[in-house]
Amino acid sequence: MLSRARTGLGEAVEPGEPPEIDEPSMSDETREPVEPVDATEAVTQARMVWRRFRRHRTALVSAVILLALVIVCLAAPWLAPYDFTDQQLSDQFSSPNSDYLLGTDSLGRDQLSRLLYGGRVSLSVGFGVAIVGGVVGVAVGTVAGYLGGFVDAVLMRLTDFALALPALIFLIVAARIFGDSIITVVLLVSAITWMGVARIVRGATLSVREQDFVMAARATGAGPMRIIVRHVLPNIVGPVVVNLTLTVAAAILLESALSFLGLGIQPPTPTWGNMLAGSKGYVQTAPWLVWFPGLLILTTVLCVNFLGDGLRDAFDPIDRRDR
Amino acid sequence: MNPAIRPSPGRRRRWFAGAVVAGLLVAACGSDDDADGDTVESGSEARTTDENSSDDGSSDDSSDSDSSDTGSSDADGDAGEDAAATEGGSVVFAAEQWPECINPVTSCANASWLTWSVIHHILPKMMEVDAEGNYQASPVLAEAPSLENGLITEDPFTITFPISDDAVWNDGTPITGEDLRFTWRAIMDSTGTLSTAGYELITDVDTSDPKNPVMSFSENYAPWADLFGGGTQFLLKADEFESTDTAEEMLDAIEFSGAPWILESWNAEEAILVRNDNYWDEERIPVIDQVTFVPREDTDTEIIALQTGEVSAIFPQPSPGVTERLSDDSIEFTLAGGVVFEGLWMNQQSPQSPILADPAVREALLYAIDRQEIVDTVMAPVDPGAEVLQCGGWVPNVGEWCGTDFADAGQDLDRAEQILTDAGWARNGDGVWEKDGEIFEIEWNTVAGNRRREDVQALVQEQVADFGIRFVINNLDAGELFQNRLPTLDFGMGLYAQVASPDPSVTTIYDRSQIPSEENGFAGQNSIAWDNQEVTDLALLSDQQLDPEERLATIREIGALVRADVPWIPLYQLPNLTAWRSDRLGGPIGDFTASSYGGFANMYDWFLVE
Amino acid sequence: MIALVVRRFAVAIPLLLATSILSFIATRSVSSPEAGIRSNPRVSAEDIARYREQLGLDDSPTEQYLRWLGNFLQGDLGRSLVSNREVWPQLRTALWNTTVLGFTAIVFSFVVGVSIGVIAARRRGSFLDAGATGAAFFGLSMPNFWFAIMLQLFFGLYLVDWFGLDGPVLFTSGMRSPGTTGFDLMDRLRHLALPALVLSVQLIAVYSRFMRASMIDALNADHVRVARAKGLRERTVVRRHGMRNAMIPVSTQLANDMGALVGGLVITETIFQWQGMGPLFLDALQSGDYVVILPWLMITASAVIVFNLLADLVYTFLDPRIRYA
Repeated sequence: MLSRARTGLGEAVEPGEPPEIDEPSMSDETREPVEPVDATEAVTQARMVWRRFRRHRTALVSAVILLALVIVCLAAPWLAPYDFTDQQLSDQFSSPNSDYLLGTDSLGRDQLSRLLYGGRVSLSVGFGVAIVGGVVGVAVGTVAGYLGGFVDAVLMRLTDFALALPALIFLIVAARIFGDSIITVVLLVSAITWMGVARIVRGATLSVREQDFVMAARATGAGPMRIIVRHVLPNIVGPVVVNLTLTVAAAILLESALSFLGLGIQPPTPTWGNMLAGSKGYVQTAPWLVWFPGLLILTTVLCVNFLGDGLRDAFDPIDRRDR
Repeated sequence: MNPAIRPSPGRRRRWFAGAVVAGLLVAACGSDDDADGDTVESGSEARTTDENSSDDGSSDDSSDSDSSDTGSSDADGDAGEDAAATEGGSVVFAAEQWPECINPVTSCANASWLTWSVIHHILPKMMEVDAEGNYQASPVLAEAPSLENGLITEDPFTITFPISDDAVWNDGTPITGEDLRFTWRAIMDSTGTLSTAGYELITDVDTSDPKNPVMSFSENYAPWADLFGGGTQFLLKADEFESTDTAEEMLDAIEFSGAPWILESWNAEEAILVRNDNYWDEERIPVIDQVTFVPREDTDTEIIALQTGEVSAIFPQPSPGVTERLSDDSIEFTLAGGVVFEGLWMNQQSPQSPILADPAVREALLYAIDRQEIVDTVMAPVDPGAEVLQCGGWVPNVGEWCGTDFADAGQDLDRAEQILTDAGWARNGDGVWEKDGEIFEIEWNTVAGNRRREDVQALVQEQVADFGIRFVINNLDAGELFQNRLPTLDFGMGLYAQVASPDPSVTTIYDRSQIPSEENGFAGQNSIAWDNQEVTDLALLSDQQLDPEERLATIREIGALVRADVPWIPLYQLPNLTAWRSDRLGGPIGDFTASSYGGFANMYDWFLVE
Repeated sequence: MIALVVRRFAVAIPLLLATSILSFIATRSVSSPEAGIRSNPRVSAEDIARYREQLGLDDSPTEQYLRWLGNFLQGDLGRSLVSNREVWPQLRTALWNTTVLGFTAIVFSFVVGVSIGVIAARRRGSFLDAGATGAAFFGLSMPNFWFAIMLQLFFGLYLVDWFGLDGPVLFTSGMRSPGTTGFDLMDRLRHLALPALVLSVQLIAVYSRFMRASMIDALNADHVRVARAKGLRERTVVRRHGMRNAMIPVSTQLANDMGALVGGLVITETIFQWQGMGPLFLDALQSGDYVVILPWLMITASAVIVFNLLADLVYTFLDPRIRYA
């Protein structure tokens, strides 16, 4: 019942936390009922969403850039001019030139290649967290909302607990205990980002549960699983997708924040975060080592945020932009 | 080594007065002094580097390059043009770490910065070390005890410290044997004492002659000069304390002083030191009125603070590119090999990499890696004059203990191949060495998030990949590595640092009874489990040898055994860096860059320029 | 409403207890006060053994925890394991410093963010709106340590170079000029500016987005339309009818941020050498000083809980439609 605790308070707490306009701090008790949408209607809804999204030009451009980044990083083995571990010691700290388009680092490794491979890791962390956090959030939210009572109380106290932990502090401690592989970083960041989705889903489930058509479905003997999948989930796709998009942004930034503190994913695995954090001392002497990873993180997170904004407008029945 | 460089009488006056009289040119650099024939810098390892000398990139220039000793950069001319030395004034220096409290007895004293920013400047020492790590009498003593002058006796082992009649605390009361006796008891009795090393051997302090206290020992103790002085120790003022348990004293104030500075205040934000006008050694009465130390614990922030002039001098752990960042008209710096050295510490009881117990494996690894390339790639961008460390347990700039045992061990793949083949190893289908089903693969652990060490790992992996050696990199949080893994011998090969103290004793790290075990509560510090009786005997012997010559011979013997058995591979020293605003500060700054007292040790000689 | 407060505190107590137990286990398992002294060549096995015994590190974890809890419940925070200094004065100073920084940043961001949000909402679709939105997202999307370093360089070095100043206008580190005594407001502000700016960039982004969205909603609400129809001046409509409702979400957000900032400024404080809660935590964690860590977490978690409660109360207070049973 603590309403949302996480904000953009710096580093601090999920830097990319959504300005959650759909859910501005509303206590669960006060939610307005959700219009029932059923799975068959979902198709039409999707078409409407797409139509609205198309009109949001910034979001569309962001989506294209993001897609391009994902493809380029996926194609790293074919695109990268060098192996990302290849060392040319004689070319230590080369500034960008025709051999090394984005310069080289302290061991003469090609930065472009490292950024391409690093992007795979950073983006995987971002999307991985969104997936894991989304699954956990949806599961907790539906179970709590649907079963109610004691289970609901326990799960919501758990959510409160997770929200009350300062995010970065939790990560600092947990990363020391559980290590720093990509998987652990994804799981740990997920552990502090699932609550937003859980709350949205629970709220929606609560209000859907009491609707006549759900009652009817239950009367015909439909199991809870079926009811949730057919009647609850379609109603909450919008807010959940928006929330998850922004989780991607938060996860990428948190990964870099962890790297700054010497935790996070460790070299030799390159990530944009650890490349940026590891080179901050070169900002005056080899600035390309700082600028390029920084700009990539900035671009990616910026695009994700715009995309989320566009999706929100697209899913939101009240169109705020053009009125 | 060089003759001791105890400052000749009048040196300070010369520094300061010279600056005032000649006015300008002198202001910030050492060049004029070298011209005066001052021997201070010529023999030291210190390399005053300016932007020009860092360009020549060639790294096989050994200390000959100390051409740079002349140290003046073109910038000085400009900066010094209208610079004039002034007496008095106030200045701010940055400390890269901040001690938790300032009690030099308890574990707060574990922070080097406690010595560097506070204790060295305010508490008296009996013996002290010079800029090159040689022991000498401090101003407290009339002369240094030795076997020759009879102030040291063997059988039974006693030491008499002849305290100078001039030596007084800042309130005018004389420093006496009572202070010495109290300090001994405080170290023995305080709750949470950091170390009783040496003090636990003292059986009694006879203070019947207050100016000539006699300490009796239960056995010979060669590192005696480290008691009540030396690298980190000190004297406390007896009548300031009610009890010998000082655990709750000196947490954020030490109100007495027997050294050039008085600690006016100390807290988490700053430490303010002011001149001790009652200091008896006129050579060391500070020129500057007040020095304020502030913590700047983020290195980048610290460097920027010097660049912006928010602080006037720093003594940071240098990082790559630091020389370029500091190549500014109004900044000068001195780089020198420091007292911290790093190497590859091979755990000979490793559950992860049992092959490290095989001497052939260790020696083959020594020849397979290219230590020169490591230094050229990783250390030269930090310190253009960096050199490979060639001795196992000491550093060349502290005393004479560091030999050249490893100088013959450059990269030599044929030799490595020979050693492995002779020991029964052969390459398998993947081109990796293998013996009895064990492949030549070593788990390699270091502290995560340290760019320098990660670069060393990546570099060495490349160096030996084709030769057929594999590493599994598993980097750990500092707490995990030093608290959980090392004490339980639960690691493979570690890349970490050790500190060389002015005294050469290596008993704690080489004695076989110091191998962590149930018996010593896993507190032993022989964390590589080097189980060598001969070295153990020699190490213990060296702790008892009072004759410096004999002791040196024993230490050198230990060094040779380290080379023979290769329990670890020495790589490099971490350089020290003193950097300062030459448009604000003048004097012999940087002389103590390589010393265990830290770059600010002689700040009593520094002065402001305008 | 009283019931709500009571219920919240009832939940908070087991929550805090759980936090303390978990963080005790975590702290003790990742680091230890003796880890630091092990690498000191002067320290022998005997020294370490004695040290462990004197600090009670050899006792069972349960004993150590219960001993700490007992003292804590009696209001005795004890002495740091590493420095032997009393914990409470350290925490108090750090808390104060963090509050100064966080409060400044939040108030500044609130004023700026709300203004931007209102303007953007009234001129939505305009160039101004697009600009504000873009800038807000920019602020949200930058790794803040990167931004901090760039600010230090820009204000500390480049500006000084370009304009040939004697020294930086805004200081790049520290809380006040070293070695000075007394309170000098200008000096404090010049040290406060950069870290506050780093925090503000993200807060402004959040507040302006919140404000813009809820302002659009508010201006489209029926009663506002009615007010307009009655012929009230647009300014009055915005002030009296729009703002009041639109402030609700952003105000609750503000309250939540106040709670989160207490433990949330780790990176900014570290970079700018601001002696707040962040560096205190990192140091204590590094040295395994659970005597400092546990009350630290108690304070930060309590702050989150109290301010969340406050946020809900603010919400109730501002929105007449809501009443807690």
